[in-house]
Amino acid sequence: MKSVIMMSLLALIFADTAHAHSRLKASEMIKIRGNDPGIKIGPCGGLARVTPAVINPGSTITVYWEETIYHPGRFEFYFSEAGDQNFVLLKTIQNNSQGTPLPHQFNTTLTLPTKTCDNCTLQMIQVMTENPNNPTNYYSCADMQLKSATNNPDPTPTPTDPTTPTPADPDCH
Amino acid sequence: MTPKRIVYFLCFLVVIIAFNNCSGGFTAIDVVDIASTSSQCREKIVQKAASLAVAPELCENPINYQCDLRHFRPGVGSETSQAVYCVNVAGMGEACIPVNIFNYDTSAQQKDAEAAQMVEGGSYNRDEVSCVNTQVTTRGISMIQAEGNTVSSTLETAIDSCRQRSRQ
Repeated sequence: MKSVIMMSLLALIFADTAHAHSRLKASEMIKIRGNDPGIKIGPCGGLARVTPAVINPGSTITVYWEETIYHPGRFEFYFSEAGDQNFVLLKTIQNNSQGTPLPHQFNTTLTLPTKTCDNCTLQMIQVMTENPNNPTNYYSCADMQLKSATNNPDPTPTPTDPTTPTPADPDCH
Repeated sequence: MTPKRIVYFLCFLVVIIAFNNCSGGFTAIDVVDIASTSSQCREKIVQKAASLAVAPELCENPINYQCDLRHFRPGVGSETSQAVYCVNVAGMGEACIPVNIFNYDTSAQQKDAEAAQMVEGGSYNRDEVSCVNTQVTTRGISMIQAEGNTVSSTLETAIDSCRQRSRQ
């Protein structure tokens, strides 16, 4: 319980006050790349890497993000082990927040790969499906280093997850 | 029925039988559900088709293009509408294309936003445009997509991209 409260406080302390259409929120586990809101160019808007969060491989972490303008669609979370390449889909969250007061606050848990990596990236893509035949994206990235360390913060359990997860990358062939 | 017509009829029958036996019949192409397919999957499908030839005439007909225009501006309301935009395109002349218009009123964001986000071109005071060629597709996904700030520039980018593909 103490660690949950502590992590919530840390998330508030580190939270970026700037707003975007939607993007990851900074926390101890999520070192966001740049403050440019509404990045339209993938994978990370061409932004330089930042000092990464050091996390134990295989950890389950809580990711927070917000949406200040509602778009129907979903949020896709990807992980790259190096160089912002070969992203692997970790999770998809449908955006079920229509009609609720803005900004929309979200969180979910993600289980990171068990392999170590020095220049890994967590990427969130907001897929907007106003026109279902022509979806468009916003991108948001956070830098990570997956390595075993005794003084790494423990992964936080998520108290609530109001969103609906869907299976990762179904039938992509 | 003349012998010539009988031969034509028999040929037609052979073609139909061969089609049904060899192609699995009149089945639909393996079209994906674009809205629910992951963005990575869509990208992979488009990359897979990168070497396919594109007929130049598919690039030159304005009717093959369609754009979405998103207004992120204070006071624009939240209506969605359709319009026809006519723009001059090099090598094509006046191109009139259907545009889906989506309005996002950013008045509510004004109180919390940084000044840079509210000035013209800022994230809460700008237009975003996305154009596709609806005929150059693979598994239902457009292979020609462009994004920009205005309908005319984004359409031109899409047409240029299509022309480059057709020359490959």
